[in-house]
Amino acid sequence: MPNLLVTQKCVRRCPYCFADSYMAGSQGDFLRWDDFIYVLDFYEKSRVPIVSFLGGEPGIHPQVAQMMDYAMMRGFDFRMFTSGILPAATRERIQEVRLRHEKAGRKVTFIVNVNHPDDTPEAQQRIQDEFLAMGGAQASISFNIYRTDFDLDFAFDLIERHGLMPNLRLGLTHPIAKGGEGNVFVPPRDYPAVAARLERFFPRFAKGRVIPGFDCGFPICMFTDAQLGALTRLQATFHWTCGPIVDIGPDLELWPCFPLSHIRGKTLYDFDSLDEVMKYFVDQVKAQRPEGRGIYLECDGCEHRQRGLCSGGCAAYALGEVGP
Amino acid sequence: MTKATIVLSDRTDRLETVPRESEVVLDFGDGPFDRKAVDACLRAGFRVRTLLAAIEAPDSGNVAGYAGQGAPAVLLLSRPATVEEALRGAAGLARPHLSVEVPLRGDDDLDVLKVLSSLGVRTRIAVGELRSEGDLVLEAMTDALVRMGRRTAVTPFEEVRAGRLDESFEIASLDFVANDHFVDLRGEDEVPGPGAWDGPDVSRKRVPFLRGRHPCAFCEGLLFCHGYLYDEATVDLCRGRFAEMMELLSAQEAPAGNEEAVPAACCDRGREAGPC
Repeated sequence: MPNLLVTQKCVRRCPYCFADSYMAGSQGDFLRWDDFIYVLDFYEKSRVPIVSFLGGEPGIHPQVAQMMDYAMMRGFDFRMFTSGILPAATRERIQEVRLRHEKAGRKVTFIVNVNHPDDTPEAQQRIQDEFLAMGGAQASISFNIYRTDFDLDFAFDLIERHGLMPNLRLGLTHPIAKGGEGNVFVPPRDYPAVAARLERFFPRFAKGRVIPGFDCGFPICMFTDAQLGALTRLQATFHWTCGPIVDIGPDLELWPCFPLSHIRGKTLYDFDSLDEVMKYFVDQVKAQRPEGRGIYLECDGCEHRQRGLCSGGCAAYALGEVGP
Repeated sequence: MTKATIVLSDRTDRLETVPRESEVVLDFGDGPFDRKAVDACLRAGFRVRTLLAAIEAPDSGNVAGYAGQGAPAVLLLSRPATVEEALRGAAGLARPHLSVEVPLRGDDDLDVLKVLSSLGVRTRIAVGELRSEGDLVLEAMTDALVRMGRRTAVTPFEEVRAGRLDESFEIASLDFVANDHFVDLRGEDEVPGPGAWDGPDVSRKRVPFLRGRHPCAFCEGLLFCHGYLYDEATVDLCRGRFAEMMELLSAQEAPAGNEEAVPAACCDRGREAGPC
């Protein structure tokens, strides 16, 4: 499902942020109403059932609650990727809209991206806590891994304390293909160390019945068979293969995903349906990745890759000048 | 054709000499709905065609009264509304007998029009806007006729779409200031004599415009405009607008069997009969 950036502005400056390059080059500040109406028309025609807000920080948009309200009045479910760091008035308005539409059977979810408390100023932690308390069972948290000595204990504590959805979405930070100054990310040679570190938290996943959800870009081979077995028992969900997510900017510019945000130049107005957009980006990535490189040399002869079970990590490596 | 009569809802006494069984448009101003005025008209043998009322915003307090009764009503926004007000008011306004007239003064008004229309509210813009400068009307027209998403009918575009090939359809019949269709008794002038309610023969109306080199002779809207919007100073504007409208309608009308060209949703909610 596509993500709609309602703003390019963010309240945080995360060192791993792969949206940073896009933010620097973008023109529009906030999604305008006429463009938003067009997006929903486009979704309606393409039978997209859910409106998914992304940022920057979507909560910064001065009319985020009204847009959320409008989307659900038009029959869409709603999801927002957020830091949760919002002014109290915005949070309350979002809550009011959410409760009203939940009564009418609409589904509202918040995916709150959290950093480790050591990386988060206290004032932001407090506000984020308030948001998670409001989100409760309709909120889940996501965590981006950008170093090998990461800690997840705080995430389990948050899930427990606020009665959040028992899911922990994990993202591997990737480089921005052909990006400017670059972002902090875990190089592929360190992936086994990431897997080993993650293994230390398996008991906490099991104890809290928290399901790990892996974003795209994790290659199968970074895990040992034993780790994969344990993750299967934890009911983990994986996205081993790579395909366009489709992000829509506040000015309706399109790109396949943030790591591949250099593939730009088209807007939603250039297409008649989401299927057309997807096909366009699949073709673009194929054209730019003719040999289908993976992140490791071994990807070339890999059986999982040949069988289409794994894409060989994030395409940003194959398309950029970033080596493993 | 007998013209309809527009009268203030608290001055139905002025209808005394109006032909019985003719249609009446009751203007409630910015006041609340009052059933007594409607009942008085019905008792006197008139047909109530439309109720007119001014509302400050889509979520104004006096909307509920008009929503709760059954006669067709046109609610005119008396000041620029916000999208937030439109969102708050949409559920109450989404009734087949209600229509909200949105004055197009700027981009925000266009957003309000689109938001209401996409949320099941019948909307309208004044017919006279078709000769206004700028892109707002074109955008409203494009949104009403060829958008991808669902919209409820927007007057006058929907009526033109449905009736443009019908000899008896006149766009002026949608405009409450059109003398050929309405006798306006809202002022204090003397009530005119019985002949005032006789409308001109529709089939003869466009004849003068077809003679010589009149600019309307080459207008794609002449068949349903009959020169109603003609003004020497603005004739290029409305003529251009009608040309754009016909182009959009051609684009909208999908070839047979090509169901993808016009989404089914557009057909479901956009083609109801108008309230007036």
